[in-house]
Amino acid sequence: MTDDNYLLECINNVTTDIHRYFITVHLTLGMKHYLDNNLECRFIAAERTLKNANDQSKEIDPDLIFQYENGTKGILGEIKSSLSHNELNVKNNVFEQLRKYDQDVIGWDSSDNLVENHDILHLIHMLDSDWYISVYNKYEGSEIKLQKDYCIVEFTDLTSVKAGQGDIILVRYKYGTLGCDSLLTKFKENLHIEIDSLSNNYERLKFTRKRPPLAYLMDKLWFFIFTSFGRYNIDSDSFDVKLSEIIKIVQDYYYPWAGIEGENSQLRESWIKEALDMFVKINLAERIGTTAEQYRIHLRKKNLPNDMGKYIIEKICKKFIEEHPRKMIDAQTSLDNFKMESVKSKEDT
Amino acid sequence: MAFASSLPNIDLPFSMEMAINYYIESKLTEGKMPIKIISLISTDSFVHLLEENMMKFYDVKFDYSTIEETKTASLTRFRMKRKLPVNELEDTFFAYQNGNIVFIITCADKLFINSGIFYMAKKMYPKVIISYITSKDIENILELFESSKKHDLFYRNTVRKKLFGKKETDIKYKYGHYKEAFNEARLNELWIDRIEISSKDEKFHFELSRDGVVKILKGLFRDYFLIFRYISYKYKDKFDFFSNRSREYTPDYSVRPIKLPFESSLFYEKTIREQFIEVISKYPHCNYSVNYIGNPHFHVNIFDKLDYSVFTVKSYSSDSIIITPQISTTEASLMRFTKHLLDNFRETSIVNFEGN
Repeated sequence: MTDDNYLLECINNVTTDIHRYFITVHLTLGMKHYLDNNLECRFIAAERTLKNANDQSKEIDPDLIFQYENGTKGILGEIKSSLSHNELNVKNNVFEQLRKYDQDVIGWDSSDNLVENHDILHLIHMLDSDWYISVYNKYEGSEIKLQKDYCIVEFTDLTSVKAGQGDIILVRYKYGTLGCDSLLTKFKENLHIEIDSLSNNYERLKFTRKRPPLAYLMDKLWFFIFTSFGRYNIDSDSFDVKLSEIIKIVQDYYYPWAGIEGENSQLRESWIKEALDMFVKINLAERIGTTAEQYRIHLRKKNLPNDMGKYIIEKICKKFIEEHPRKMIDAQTSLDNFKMESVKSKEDT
Repeated sequence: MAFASSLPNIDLPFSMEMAINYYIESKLTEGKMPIKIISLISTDSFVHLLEENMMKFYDVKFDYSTIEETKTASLTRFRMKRKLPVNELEDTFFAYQNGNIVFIITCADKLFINSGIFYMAKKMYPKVIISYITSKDIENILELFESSKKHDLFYRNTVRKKLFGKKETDIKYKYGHYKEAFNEARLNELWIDRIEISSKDEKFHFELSRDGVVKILKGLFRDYFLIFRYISYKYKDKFDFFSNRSREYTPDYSVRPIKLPFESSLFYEKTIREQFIEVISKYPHCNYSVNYIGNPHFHVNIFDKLDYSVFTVKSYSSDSIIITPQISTTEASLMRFTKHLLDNFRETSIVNFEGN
């Protein structure tokens, strides 16, 4: 593969990751929006950490937590907006995660933080759902054996039913069962999440608990956070800012979905630091000072193109290729390696 | 006419009016015609703002003197000279300020207006804002003017625009009641960008355009006061509508978006979505990023480098655009961007967007 193709592949993959993350946030908002108006099954949280009931050192972070039957039963939901079609990856990561979800966990919305039982819900992007179900069926009973009820639904990109009827994300039943009958029925009937209804919430809730793609996070920092400092230095093309000041703005404007102990925003400090380091690597920022973590951000650097979103993605990919000399591997594997650093700290979350 | 009486009054003392008339007469004697009145929004005293921004005008020389000043109005005479690469511009104008609206009165040519007056206004942005009126506003003005003056108004020619701000090549040199021009434009999904109007007896003869420039071809300055009052009212209204939308000013830092509804589901067409993104890419002094583009949706972030305003532009529904101001977004930036859309995409109304 030539360097140009390699770069192009990387750009396409990063762009897809951003799109998928964008959809994931909207899907999470949509499920919350739907369940907030559903009496039987309640939306509890989007980003809560629960602990294994038998070993509290083991934690899980499902994307969605619902409770039903007056809160006595629960559902742990996991959104898979992007699955590389690699069986080994499914066996090592997805099944491993399912096994963790298949244990009794503590942290539910009840007086003793427990529920009688819970189900597991997988929401999988429609491009991956059939493939994943075939892999699951292949290994079910041998590699993976679940005690809890398990249900798979698939979701679409933002789409349209037809002109004039509004635009939706479609969520529909694919496999298994759920204890919450009304939700299961709704999935079987096709759940339509109207996108218009999510518009304002997305402006405040741009991140789930899942680590965002680096380019997505850098885009948000560049447009929404850095600009709020730049205006105090209107005559200059750069400004200096401390990491603590950036975190303060993030906490004020991108506060968590629900009150979570010990967390003050949708973003982790380590993610922000990683994004700032990448801004330094691609010459849009520089580190200054020796004590406090302080950066000079070149927000109005000369000769930058208007399309900064595209520019940031290209620069990240070029940097990746520079730091990872071309090998005889396909682009998806390369990107997986590239994302490895992210995945590594995903375990931290 | 009830509406006309509710329009804001313009404080123009007799002495100021005399000064303006004297200026116009002297220009007429020089053979210069017609008078153009350019309306601008000025968030402070126009003269003070000019003095504050003088450093930016390294290629311009101003001579000015205030003729008269009251509590709410002021009249200042300017001579402006600007060096261009190939030639030099020089002319005079009056700046009559009433509250936050400034009327620039001049008999200068088009080049001076574009490279002198508008250049000066752009340099003073965001404190001075070039605003706009819509095709619908022009129609409303003519309706008011006709019933107030009790003279039927006829159009002589029009410049019409279509989707993506393209000029309709068939410039109309017809003669008919002005309403016919608007009705015909509507039928053809066009809108009037500029229209030349006269009364049957030719007592009134003038031109109105969406960029808020009024050209007086016949009649006295005072004859057209109703038009200036209407433009004043529209500009103030627009300024207030776009104000205080930054998240930093709202309870819980919530958002206060605006919506531009269209009559049809435009964005189902891929070419329209792509061309719309191209219109955004040509918005002067901006950075943007396209977070999502599907069918019929798109989601774009825009950073206005002139004053660090940021907003998102998205179409979740195929027949509208939602603009959501972020942490800090000025009224000037929202006005500049919506003017860009109305000029280069399509004219529409602008309303509050409620939602979750």
